[in-house]
Amino acid sequence: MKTDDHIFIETRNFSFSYPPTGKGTERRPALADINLAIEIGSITVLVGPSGCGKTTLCRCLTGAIPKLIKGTLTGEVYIGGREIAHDDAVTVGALSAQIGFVTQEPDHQIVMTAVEDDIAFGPENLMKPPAAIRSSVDAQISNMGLAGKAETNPSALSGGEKQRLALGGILAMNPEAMIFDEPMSNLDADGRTRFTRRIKELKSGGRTVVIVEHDFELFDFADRWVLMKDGRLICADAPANIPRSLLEDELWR
Amino acid sequence: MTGGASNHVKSGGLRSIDPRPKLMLMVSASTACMLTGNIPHIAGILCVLILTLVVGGADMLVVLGRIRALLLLIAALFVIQTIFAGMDGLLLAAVLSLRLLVVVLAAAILLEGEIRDYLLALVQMKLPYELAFAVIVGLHFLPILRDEAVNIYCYMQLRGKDFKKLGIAKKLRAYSGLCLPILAGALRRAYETSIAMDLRGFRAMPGRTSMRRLSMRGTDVILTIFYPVIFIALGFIFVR
Ligand SMILES: Nc1ncnc2c1ncn2[C@@H]1O[C@H](COP(=O)(O)OP(=O)(O)O)[C@@H](O)[C@H]1O
Ligand SMILES: [Mg+2]
Repeated sequence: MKTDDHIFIETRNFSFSYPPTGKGTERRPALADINLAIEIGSITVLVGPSGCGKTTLCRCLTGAIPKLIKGTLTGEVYIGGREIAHDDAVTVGALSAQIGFVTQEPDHQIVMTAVEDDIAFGPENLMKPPAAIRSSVDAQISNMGLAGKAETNPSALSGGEKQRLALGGILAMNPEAMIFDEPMSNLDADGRTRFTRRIKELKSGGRTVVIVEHDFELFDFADRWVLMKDGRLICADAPANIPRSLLEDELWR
Repeated sequence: MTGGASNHVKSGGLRSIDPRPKLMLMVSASTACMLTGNIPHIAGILCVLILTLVVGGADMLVVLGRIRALLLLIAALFVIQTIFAGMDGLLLAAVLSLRLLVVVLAAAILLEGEIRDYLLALVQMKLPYELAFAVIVGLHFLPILRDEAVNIYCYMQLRGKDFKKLGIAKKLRAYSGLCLPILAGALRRAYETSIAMDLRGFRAMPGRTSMRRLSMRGTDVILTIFYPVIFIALGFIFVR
C-alpha cells in the first residue's frame, strides 16, 4: 500500500507502548491509534500537556521507535511512501540523511568536545566532503549566535547556547525534514524570534518541519496545529480552523 | 575575534606540537621503562620528560598541581615497600616508583593538548573510528557524572544529611545512596545519547569524513622519531 506523493511521513492506526518496567505493571499505551499525515514542505506544530506522548511520537517519525527503542506497537509508519516500522532493511542511519531530530534535552545530543566539532559530527557521519562541512559549520556557528566559540567545550556553554548548538548540529546536516522537540525551552525572547524566522526560511526552502512547542501561538503561520492528549490526537487542522473553545483550555500550555 | 584567551594558551611550545609525537612519547617512554630495570636508564628517561615539559613551555606549577595526588601516592608506595621489604626491597621500590613517575609525567605531557586533537590523530592513524569515539564519549560523561554527584550531594545535605557528622557505617550507607542515582542518571544519559548519535547518522555509512585534518610539520616528524631513539640510546649508554 503506497501513500500519496505529497506526503512525507504518515502514521496509520499507530499505537505504541514502552516495555513494562515493574513486575506485572501494565502501562497505558504512550500512543494510541495515531493517524497523521505530514505533507512535504509543511509546518506542523505538536501541542499537548507534558507526558501526553509528543516526544514518543517524534521518535516514531524518525524511526527511533521501533528501530532503537523497543516496545509493543501496532499500525504502520510510512516515510517517503515506504513502510519503515516493520521493515528491518530500513535503518535509523539511512533515515538520518532524510530526517533530522533535535532532542528535547541538548545535553543528550551534544557529543563532541568543541562547538565546531559537534556541528560537524552529523555531516561527517554522512561522509560529506570536508570543505563543504567547513562552510556549513561556519554558517551555523554564525546563524546560531555562537561566533567566537568555535573551539569552546560545549559543557561551558549556557543553556540557551547549548540549545542553539543542538539546532545547528542538525541544520548542518540539511535534511529534507526536521523535527524539533521543544526547541525553544531554553531560549530567550531574541532566540525565540530568531528561531521562528529560521522556521519560515526552512519552509520557503521547501523543508518539512515538525515542532513540539507549548507556545504554539508563535507559530500562527504553521500549516497545522496538532493537539494531543493522553497519547491520542484530539484535533489536527489549520490554526484558523481549530475551535477557539478548544484552544482556550489551559491544558495546552 | 575568535577566543583570544584560548588562542594565547595554545600558541607555541608543547601545545602547538602535533598529538602524534606526544602519543609516541607516551608509548615509547612507558614501554622502555617497563623493559628496563636499570635505575640510571629510567632516571635518564625521566630527565627527557622533564626537559620536554620545561622546554615545551608548560607551566610547571600547573603540571605539579595536576599530578600532586599521584606524586603523593607514589611516595607513599615507596615508603610502604621499603618498610615491609627492608633494605633489600629498596632497589625494587625505587625502580617501581621511577617507572610510575615516568608514566605520570608522560600523561602530564599528553594533557598539554586537546582531547579533540588526539581523537583526530587516532582516526588519522587508521584506528577504527567507533573505538576512538567510544573513548571520547566516555570522557564526555566524566564531567556529567561529577556535576550529577555535586547536585545529589547538595540535595541530600538539604534534606539534612550532614556527611561530616556521620559515623563510618552511616557514611558508607549515605554514599551508596548517592551512587545509585548517579549511576542510574549516567546510564540514562548514555542511552539517550547513543540514540541521538544514531539519529545523527553515526555508523550510517561505511566510513566517516573529518572536517579538520592534522598535518605534521618538520618538528613533529623529528620529535616522533627522536623519542623512541633517545630512550633506546639511553639504554645502550647505561645498561651493559
Ligand atoms: N524511554 C521510555 N521508557 C518508558 N516510558 C517512557 C519513555 N519515554 C517516555 N515514557 C512515558 O511515555 C509517556 C509519554 O512520554 P513523552 O512522549 O515523553 O511525553 P511528552 O514529550 O509529551 O512530555 C509518559 O508517560 C512517559 O513517562
Ligand atoms: Mg517531551
